[in-house]
Amino acid sequence: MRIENKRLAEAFINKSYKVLGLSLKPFSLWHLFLMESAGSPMLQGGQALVRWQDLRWAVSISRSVWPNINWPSGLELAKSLFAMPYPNLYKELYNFNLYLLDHYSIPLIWQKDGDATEQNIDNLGNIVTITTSLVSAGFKLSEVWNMPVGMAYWYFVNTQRLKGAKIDIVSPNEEVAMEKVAKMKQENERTGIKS
Amino acid sequence: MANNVGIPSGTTISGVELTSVTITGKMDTLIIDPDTEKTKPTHAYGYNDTYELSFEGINTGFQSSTNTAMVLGKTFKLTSVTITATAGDFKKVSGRGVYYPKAT
Repeated sequence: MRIENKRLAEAFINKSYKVLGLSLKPFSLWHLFLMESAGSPMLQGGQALVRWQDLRWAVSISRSVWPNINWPSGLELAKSLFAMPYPNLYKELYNFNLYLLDHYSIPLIWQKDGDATEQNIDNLGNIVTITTSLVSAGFKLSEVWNMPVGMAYWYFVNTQRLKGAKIDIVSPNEEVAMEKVAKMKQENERTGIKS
Repeated sequence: MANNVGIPSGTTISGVELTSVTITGKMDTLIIDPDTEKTKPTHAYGYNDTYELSFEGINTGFQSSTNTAMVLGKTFKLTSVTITATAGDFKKVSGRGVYYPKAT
């Protein structure tokens, strides 16, 4: 049976990644927690200015295994600043973003108006809530913290469904329609047509 | 009888990118009693045949003034269209419509 939901398949099938010549662990809840705690610009898409040190720091964090934190030393940061030719920053950033996207394939959820407590994954799904929920479902704490983010969200949503939460996941054909609508909007913006 | 017809070509609702369409047909019947014991009725009349449409899709700018939908070449009168949920910038729309084949 073919898995129709690309997001689901992507959450469970991941590639191996190397950035700045270093192998990364699958991007886990632990890595996300550390980066969010530190306000890492790596999680802000194209919105933030990213420096070599930021990337090097994120690479080190992405090599950590819960409960340890693999902080880069000052020497390592300095080496990364001088060892790489500057134009390569974009290539390394691009690879790091691919790594994030590959492991961050979380389910898209329909949120009903006025029904945020049942439907809104942002309300339900902060990292500690997800961790607690998966541990109470029988996973070990170390398994949960080291689990890739997308995989953890899919398990979390389904444990909530099994407990009776009404969660409406965007279906594959709805996602196809969304892509079509997004392209249509882009095209309309390009040609100046108001939708 | 419900028939999920997928999205047949030529099916359009202005302002909605359709993701599912279902048509249900129904008909009232009038059976003439034969007045003879253990005899099947010979006359049965069907009337008031109605096709009901329900659909879902992504809102692309639905206007409340839009009151018809084209499905399988037939013009359905829309009876309700509502935005039911949101995911990011996208809004899910569900609606209903009706078509009376014998209406003039």
